Amino acid sequence: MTSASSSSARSLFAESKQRLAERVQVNMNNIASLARQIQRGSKSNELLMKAARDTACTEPLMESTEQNLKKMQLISVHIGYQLESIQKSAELINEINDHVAGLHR
Amino acid sequence: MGSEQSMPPKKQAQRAPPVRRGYTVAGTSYSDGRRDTIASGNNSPGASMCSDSELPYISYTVDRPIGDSPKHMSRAQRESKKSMAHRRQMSVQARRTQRPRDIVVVKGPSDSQLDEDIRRLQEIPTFLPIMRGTLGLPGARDPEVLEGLDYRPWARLSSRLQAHLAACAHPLANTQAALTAQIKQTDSEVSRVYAQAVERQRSNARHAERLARLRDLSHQLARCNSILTGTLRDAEELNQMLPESRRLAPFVWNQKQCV
Repeated sequence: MTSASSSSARSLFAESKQRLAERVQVNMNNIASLARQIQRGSKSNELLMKAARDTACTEPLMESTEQNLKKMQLISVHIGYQLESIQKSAELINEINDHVAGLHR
Repeated sequence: MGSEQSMPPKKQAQRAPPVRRGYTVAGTSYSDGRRDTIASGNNSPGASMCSDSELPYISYTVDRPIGDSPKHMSRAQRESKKSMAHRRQMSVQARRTQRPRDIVVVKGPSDSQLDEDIRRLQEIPTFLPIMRGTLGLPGARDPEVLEGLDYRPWARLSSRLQAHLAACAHPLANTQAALTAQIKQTDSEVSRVYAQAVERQRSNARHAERLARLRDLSHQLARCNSILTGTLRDAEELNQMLPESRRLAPFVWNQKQCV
């Protein structure tokens, strides 16, 4: 095992290094599977994903709410105008009463 | 590791890496006892995990093999013998094969005291490489790390971490669900109020339109009034123009009298 091959000095420790790398790889895989188990075991991913999806589903609702609110703002302006005209018309009724009284002379 | 600390000390002689002192010290003293430990001819200086660029003594094994090198049989031997004869002495690691041409005999140890550096090297505790399987001993395979590792703290730690993640995620999901429900509720409320507003606006429009008719009515009444007063005045004036015998009675609105 420890014999030096005179053919190439560069391949001297190749096998040892490969074995070491394999061991390291096995350890890394174990750690990674442990981490994945921790993450999957607590169903945090699914829960949060579901919450995010539901929130995304409410987006059209929010858009319609915004549009309704804008329309209601316009409607309020219209109602203001109508209120003005109704007030003026109500004042006219008094004048009409006077005229009718005058006609009934 | 504890296993090799408790090994018998006589095995330590095999484990310590052999040292080549070709360039350092003039005389060596300890090498006589170690001559029989290494039997084979070609030996690299220990299984050390060094990089390729730092592999020591490779040139030694290639250019100056101690025993029989498969490649350089006669040529390397000739020039190696020459260089060795001319350079300083080296500590002999293996019994040199007897050659009639060049025999270098090293002077014996002058004092029994070991050299300072060699003594310090001997004081280095024995250590094993990372992967014990590379040593070549049939008994010492790579011990699995799980043998010496107690899994219970790890299991506890990971289960607690898992529970912590779950405990964080559940209230968050509940809050988000509540928010979503509130959004839906708000949207329904707003749409209801919007419908009410539309209804009110329509009825307002009807009333306003009806009341606008009042304006026309009042205008017409005013015109009626003015025309009537004008007509009455004209009739009165005409009445005055007539002679006394033909005058009409003064016009009274309530009584329906035709002129």
